[in-house]
Amino acid sequence: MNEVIRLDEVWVKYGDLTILEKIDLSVENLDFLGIIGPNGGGKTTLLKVILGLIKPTRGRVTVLGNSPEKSRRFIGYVPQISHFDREFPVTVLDVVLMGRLGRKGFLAKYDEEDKKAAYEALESVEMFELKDRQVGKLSGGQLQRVLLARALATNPRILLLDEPTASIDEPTKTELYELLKNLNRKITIILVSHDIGVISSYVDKIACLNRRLFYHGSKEIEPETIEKTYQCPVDLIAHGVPHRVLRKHKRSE
Amino acid sequence: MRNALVAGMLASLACGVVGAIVVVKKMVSISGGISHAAFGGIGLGYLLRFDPIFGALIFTIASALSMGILRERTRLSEDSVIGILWVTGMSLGVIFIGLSPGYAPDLFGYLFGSILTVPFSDLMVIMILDVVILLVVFLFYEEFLAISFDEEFATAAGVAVEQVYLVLLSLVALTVVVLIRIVGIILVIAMLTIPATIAWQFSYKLKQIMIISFLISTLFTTEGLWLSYVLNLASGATIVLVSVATFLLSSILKKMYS
Repeated sequence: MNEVIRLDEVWVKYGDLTILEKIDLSVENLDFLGIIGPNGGGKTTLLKVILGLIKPTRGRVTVLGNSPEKSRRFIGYVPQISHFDREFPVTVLDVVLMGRLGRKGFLAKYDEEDKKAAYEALESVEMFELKDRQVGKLSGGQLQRVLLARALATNPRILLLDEPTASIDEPTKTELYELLKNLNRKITIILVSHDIGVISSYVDKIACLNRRLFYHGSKEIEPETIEKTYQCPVDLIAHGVPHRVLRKHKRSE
Repeated sequence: MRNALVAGMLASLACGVVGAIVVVKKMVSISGGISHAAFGGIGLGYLLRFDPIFGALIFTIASALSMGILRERTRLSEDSVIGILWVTGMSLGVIFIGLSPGYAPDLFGYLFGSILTVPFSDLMVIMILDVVILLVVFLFYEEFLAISFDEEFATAAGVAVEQVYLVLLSLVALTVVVLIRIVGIILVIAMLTIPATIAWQFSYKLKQIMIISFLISTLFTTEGLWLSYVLNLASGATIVLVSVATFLLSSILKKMYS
């Protein structure tokens, strides 16, 4: 099975407000898909639809050949860091262990295997030394890596990242992308961001989302599409987007 | 008096452990709603002539479950649901007591606490509830921590968030029943909030916060009892004011040294 995620004509509406309109999306195994679009464009909603946290008003979602609810234990989710209470009394290791919740069994305690998985995940993001620190005392980049480790502790086949570079500086961003690129050898990755600079050489497919999905099979992108997505002209060069071979883009029907 | 001290300690066990979760999960107002809804059960007990504390148990559990279910299943805001159940419980209590023949003994005790006259049989009830509460917290600890920190991730990781939350609300209900004896319906929320809030200022581990707030709460009930005895004041309110004073002091100290 090469296609891991498929959305067919998915709509999400809250009352009269349409968040996602007729989304068709196909993600193949080991894709590294970047979805860009403005704030409020429905990026987070799209990820939650794939996770089965939000039920589409219309349309069909298939993940690994099954419903999102059945498949979500194969998905590692890295939410935006902005929605955390920084004072919450929890250590780095506690958070990463939460990635094992679905595996440890209901009402069971974490066992050695769970701890081993958490330690390995922490090591892969180079946060093992800080495992006993309170999450509130971490920098944005460190917290981001902890959330990534939590997602990795689930042993995911698919990784969904929501604005992973929102609150971190440039060198840390590069590190994060190197890390994701490595992970991408075994894991399919979807990353959403409002930051066009994110379209780096690491992503190999790009889609633009603003209520509707303007999908590209490859990462070639033209200014016109971005302007359509953001509904205002965007200075591509100023946002650090490298020049690419431009190609006539086809909107998904 | 000895019964009172033991009752204070046993109740501190429940309110330390559950209070810690209530505070970090920001469930203080929902706990307020549950505790005030208990008054309906107290009234029903008077009306139908059974021990009002069992009425309180029924009403707290029922209101806890309805709040949890309404929050999940409807678009109503949690705030409004709390407000409605809060006043429904209180009003039912008033009507039931009005309908009961004759005079309602100990009513004041249920509202403001009557730790000094707690009978041995109540100690047994509190002890059983303590055991249940500790056992459930032990079993659900990881799940409680997960839904408090990040409900969405917990759902995605496969935790039955709604059911776990209902269990948590039921624990709050049991704890409220334990605390009614000590400080009364009106002041229950103080015991669920203040010790845990103080403990949170000094620890960032939930387990530690539970233990520290148990110890602090034991100290408060003992201190408050002693003061109320010496100064001839209402015990429940004295315990609460001792807690508030300590909270202020600890906040000032914390501010000065950080």
